[in-house]
Amino acid sequence: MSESAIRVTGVRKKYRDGAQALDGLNLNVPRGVVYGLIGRNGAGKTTLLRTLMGLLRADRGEALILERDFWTASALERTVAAYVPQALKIHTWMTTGELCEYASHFYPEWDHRYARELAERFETPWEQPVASLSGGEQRKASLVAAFAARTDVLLLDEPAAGLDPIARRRLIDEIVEVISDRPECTVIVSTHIISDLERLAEVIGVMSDGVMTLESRVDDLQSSIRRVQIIFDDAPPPDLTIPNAIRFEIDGPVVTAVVRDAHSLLGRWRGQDGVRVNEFPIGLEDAVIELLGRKAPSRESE
Amino acid sequence: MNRFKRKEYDLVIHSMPPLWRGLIERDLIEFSREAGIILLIWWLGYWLLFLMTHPAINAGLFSLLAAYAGMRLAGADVMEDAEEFVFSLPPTRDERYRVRFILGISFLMILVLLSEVGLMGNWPQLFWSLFVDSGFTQPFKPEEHVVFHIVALLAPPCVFSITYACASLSVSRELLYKTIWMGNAFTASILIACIVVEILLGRSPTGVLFAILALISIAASYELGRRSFLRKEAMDCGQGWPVGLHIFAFSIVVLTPAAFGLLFLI
Amino acid sequence: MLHFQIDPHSGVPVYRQLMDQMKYYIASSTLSSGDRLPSIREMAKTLAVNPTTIVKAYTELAHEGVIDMQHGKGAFVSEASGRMSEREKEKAIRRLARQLVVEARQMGAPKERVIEIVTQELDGTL
Repeated sequence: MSESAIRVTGVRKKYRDGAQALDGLNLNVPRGVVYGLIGRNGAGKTTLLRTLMGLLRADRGEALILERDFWTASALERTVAAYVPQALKIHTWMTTGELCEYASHFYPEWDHRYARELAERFETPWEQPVASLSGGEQRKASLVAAFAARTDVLLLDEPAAGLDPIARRRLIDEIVEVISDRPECTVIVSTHIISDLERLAEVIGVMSDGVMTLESRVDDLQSSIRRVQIIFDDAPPPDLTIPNAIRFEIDGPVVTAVVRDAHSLLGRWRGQDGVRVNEFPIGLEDAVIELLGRKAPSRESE
Repeated sequence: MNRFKRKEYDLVIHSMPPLWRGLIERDLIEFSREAGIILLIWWLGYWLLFLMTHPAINAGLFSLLAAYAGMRLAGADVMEDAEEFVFSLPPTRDERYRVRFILGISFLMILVLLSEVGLMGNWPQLFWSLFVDSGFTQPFKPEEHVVFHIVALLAPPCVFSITYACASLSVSRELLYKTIWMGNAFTASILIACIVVEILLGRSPTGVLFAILALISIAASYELGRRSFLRKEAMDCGQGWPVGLHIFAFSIVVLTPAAFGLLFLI
Repeated sequence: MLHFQIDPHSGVPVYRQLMDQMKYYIASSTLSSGDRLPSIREMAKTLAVNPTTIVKAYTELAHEGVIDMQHGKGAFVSEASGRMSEREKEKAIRRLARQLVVEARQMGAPKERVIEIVTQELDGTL
């Protein structure tokens, strides 16, 4: 499909306190994709989602959902997306049932039976004020309302935070259910729980300091990033370089490296006398930590 | 693609009424109790206690009510810190602003008009004469109080409109609560200014000048508030006073001058 | 439905994990030619995995000739899958053999000795 679900071009956003939350961010998500948004706290993920939903106005650039700028879009146009905020702050008197009743007026495809079913599956109390529930329960109420709206785009900001493992698995099940039923549905999930993304996301984007620092298909990332260990019988050559290294360390005769595209490196050292090479697969979570958390290598050559 | 087109068509046909219904329904649930209490107080004061025997009293009391209603309606989401959730739903800020404005001003004006009409027709006295011999108060003569009637009819909506506009723009609870005084202060100052001008011009005050300025203020504050509200970003509203405590403080602050004003007039 | 194990920390893409397990089931005759595979929806829901991942695994398997995707009917283990899996097996053994050779060379073990050890292992286990 040619139409993209989310199109963000050069969006900048500075808060009143002077913090530059988004700094010329670009993002393009095709329809029907589950997109995982990763980044450390303060990287700008929430600001991005809020800007997309039209809660904040971009200082510069465009943030579009299905080619609509939610900041100026009409109520009609805004029915294509639902948002699950990090914390559901809601009128104190509203129960889950009332929340659903309220939201149901605004979404033409609202599915009331599905809302009841979901609440049951998540074990969310239907007739208790949402504000009196725990953080995790509130999250579930918010998820129920967003899923039952049956929108084409779902923006989920840390949906799994505060959920117990069973509720978290239910959440994954529901997302899978939604995208199995309606393959054109696009889901953006910001999360710190990367192992969930491994199951769900086709593409992940890593944000830091308000820009997208890396965007990759999950498969590609997993099959290209490797941890490699080279053990030399003697000291490693002083002019040793590791191409495509994300990070590498030399400790006596042992060189460990995390590399993108391990093939060329392995091809070079494997089978040489006095050198032993081992290759280890690296999980998505570790890969992301390597990409995000560590400083750039001290001796890198491209 | 076809599916998408069909949906948009359906939307045009079916969505607009539910949208307004949804907004109104939610406000009715939230404010019905407060509105009920206000109605009860009005009914007691007006019919049973004869508190509103003069349009000046009406003007004063309804202006205070207008300030409270404007702040409460426009600030409901800020007060509960629910702006992020509310703004993420499809209705636009424009629709929210208009629906609540219409709700608030109709409630207010129904009360104002009923009180005024009743005052002109001496309804409370007629009501009481059913049970007791009449004659313990002077029959009310509307033609003597034209200025007061104009003020009683136009000051409350003016206060409401200004307070509503300011309250809808407040980004924190602290700011929100301060907007209560703005509408009243502004309306009172244009009222005083108008009367002073008319006296300086050597005429007895007619209230026409005030009527014109009040109508302009209503329209201007509505429109300016609406436009600024369209640009409002959903923010964390932070913690202010608990709502209950504030309502308590407000009622004390409001009731004290009202009581003094009454003593002064009677 | 057959059990498929998704290991989120293995570093192997999920679709690869599925492919490998599917091939294992075919090679070990748990699945045989003509058997119907679970639908994409069913797989996605049971495994809690994005359906596009299942699609990818199935497409790759079909591409390798292990399964047949029949439009509207579902996916079946292909007639040729037995032969295919023979080739797969050989590929896997060759991969292990290469690793053995590399390790052996790094340790400087003579060729004859390596062959001897392999033969012993084969005699011992088979």
